[in-house]
Amino acid sequence: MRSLLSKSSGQFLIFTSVVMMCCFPLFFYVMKNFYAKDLDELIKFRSEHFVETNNSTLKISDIDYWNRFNEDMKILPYENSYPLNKVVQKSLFSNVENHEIDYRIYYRKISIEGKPYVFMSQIAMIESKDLFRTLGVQYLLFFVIIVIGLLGIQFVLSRCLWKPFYNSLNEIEDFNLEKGEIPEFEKTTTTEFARLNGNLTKLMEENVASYKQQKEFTENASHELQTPLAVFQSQLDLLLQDNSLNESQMNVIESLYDVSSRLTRLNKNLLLLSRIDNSQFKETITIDFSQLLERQLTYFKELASNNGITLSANIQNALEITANKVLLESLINNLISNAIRHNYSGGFIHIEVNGNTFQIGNSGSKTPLDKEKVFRRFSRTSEERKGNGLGLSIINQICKLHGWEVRYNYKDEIHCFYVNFYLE
Amino acid sequence: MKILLIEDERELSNNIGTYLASDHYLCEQAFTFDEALEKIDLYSYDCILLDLNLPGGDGLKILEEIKARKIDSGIIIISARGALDDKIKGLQIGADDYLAKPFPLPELSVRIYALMRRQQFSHNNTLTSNGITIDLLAKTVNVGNTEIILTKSEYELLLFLIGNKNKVISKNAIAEHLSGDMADMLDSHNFVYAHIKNLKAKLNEAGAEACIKTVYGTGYKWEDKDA
Repeated sequence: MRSLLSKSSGQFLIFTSVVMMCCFPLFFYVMKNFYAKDLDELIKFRSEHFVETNNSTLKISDIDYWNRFNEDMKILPYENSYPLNKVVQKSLFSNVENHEIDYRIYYRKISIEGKPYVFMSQIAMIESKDLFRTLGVQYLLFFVIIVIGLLGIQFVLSRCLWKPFYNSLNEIEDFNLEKGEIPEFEKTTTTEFARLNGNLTKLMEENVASYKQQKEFTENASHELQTPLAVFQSQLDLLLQDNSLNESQMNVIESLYDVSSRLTRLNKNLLLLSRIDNSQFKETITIDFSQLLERQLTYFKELASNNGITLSANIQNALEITANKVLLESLINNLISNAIRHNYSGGFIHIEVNGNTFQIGNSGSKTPLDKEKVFRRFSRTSEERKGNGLGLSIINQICKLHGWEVRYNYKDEIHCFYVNFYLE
Repeated sequence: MKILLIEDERELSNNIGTYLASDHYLCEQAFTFDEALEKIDLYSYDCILLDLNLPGGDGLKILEEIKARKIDSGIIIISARGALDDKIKGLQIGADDYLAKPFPLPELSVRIYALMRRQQFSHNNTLTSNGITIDLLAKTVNVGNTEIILTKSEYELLLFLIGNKNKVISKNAIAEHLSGDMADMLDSHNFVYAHIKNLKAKLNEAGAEACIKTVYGTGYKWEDKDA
């Protein structure tokens, strides 16, 4: 993953490099052409200059003398084979360089004392190789300066341009649906970003609204269910007083009681969950967790032994935590009753408080629970309907609310839950 | 003994009325906020059962009104709201007890019983049934001169049964009474069964008559021979 800026700069660098590379041969040939033209003008000028200044005073007897001292301007006897009045390029042996090099040569017909001669003016060219190197170095230098300059400009411009985008990004990263606070975006003059921000705000507002509605719905629904449940239960309580009931009718009533208490339990848990979601448990006090646990344990020990389960506890230290008391009790009750419920006669439960952690392990089914799903609502891992599928999500919500960590682990046929109370 | 039942759900109100009538309570019903205020104004009651969600107004307002008029009826809030805030607020204003819906009728009955006892017979702290004497202050139980040693749960169970004497009480009601909120956590049938069994054994051993009757394994009944 790379940032937008580095990506665009990288691409810019690649494309400009390719374009500049492609341009170099063109640049080279154009330069070379201009250079040759320059030389041509020079040799033409030299020969014209000769004709204008020296030609009239030169005598035939001076030709040898002239030729001896002029390497690049020679007077040759007239021959038809010379290409007259145009510049040609020839490779000649150079005594200086000790190898052949290219020359630009211009032949012009002159007459000395009435006799025709040919005036040859030549000039050595820079070797192609050398020209290439020189131009290449210059070009590269030029290229580097341009690219650095452009990159810098692009970087600064992009940063300015994308700033509102990064601001929005930071704002939405901090957005938390549960807190329900919609971030305020900075005003931007870019149409697209203004649109983006507008749409983001709208999305978040809708999300928060529907989340709130959903939370309220659960709570309201649970509330509304309480009255019919109360009617249902009171009817059963009255029915039970009827003296004429026979055994089979009593059995029906008993199963209705079971249904009624299951419904009540489910409803209470739903209500508790939605109340946690609606943050109705704000008051916190400092509680000694170990003491509270010890108190709850008296009841659970009795309950466990009624179910043929051995409950042992090793509370090593006092553990002062800041929490909502109702929720903390609910956490303990849910964890221990889960351990009893998903156990078997002859099984065991071991509870440990050590440092900042509370740990409860129990015997139970021989298959581990799904770590991913275990804290989700109504995600039963077995078809057994022992609980109502909300206990662990209540535990999870309580821990989340207080900033504690809860984990599930299965090892050596022991189902284990850990709660880590982070203490500052 | 006169009870005013302020509850807008007619069916529930009728059921509570029927259940309490057999305990020789005289139950009057009010279904709305105004009706309730009118009745409180005209008559006096030993106990008022108050629902908080009423058509026409908040039940807590009625509670404030009762307290403002210095009416000394015992007040039990029965509410579907059940939020801790409401409970605390209600008790602060001056309610004597709070029961969240849904609740078993025997639970309501035993709460009224306890409230009435606290209010009216504060000098008399003993309870007698079938020759069993319970000292409510010392929390001791005697059959004749023999003291029966009961655990806390067994003692509570005994009081609950006697508080609902001659009525069939479901296991669920007993479980909820004994373990409070924790009854929600578990299937408590074994738990109730074990306690009933132990209590029966202890009472038998002390020579009390067989007063706890099991009704087809579904419910339990305290038979008071004197009633």
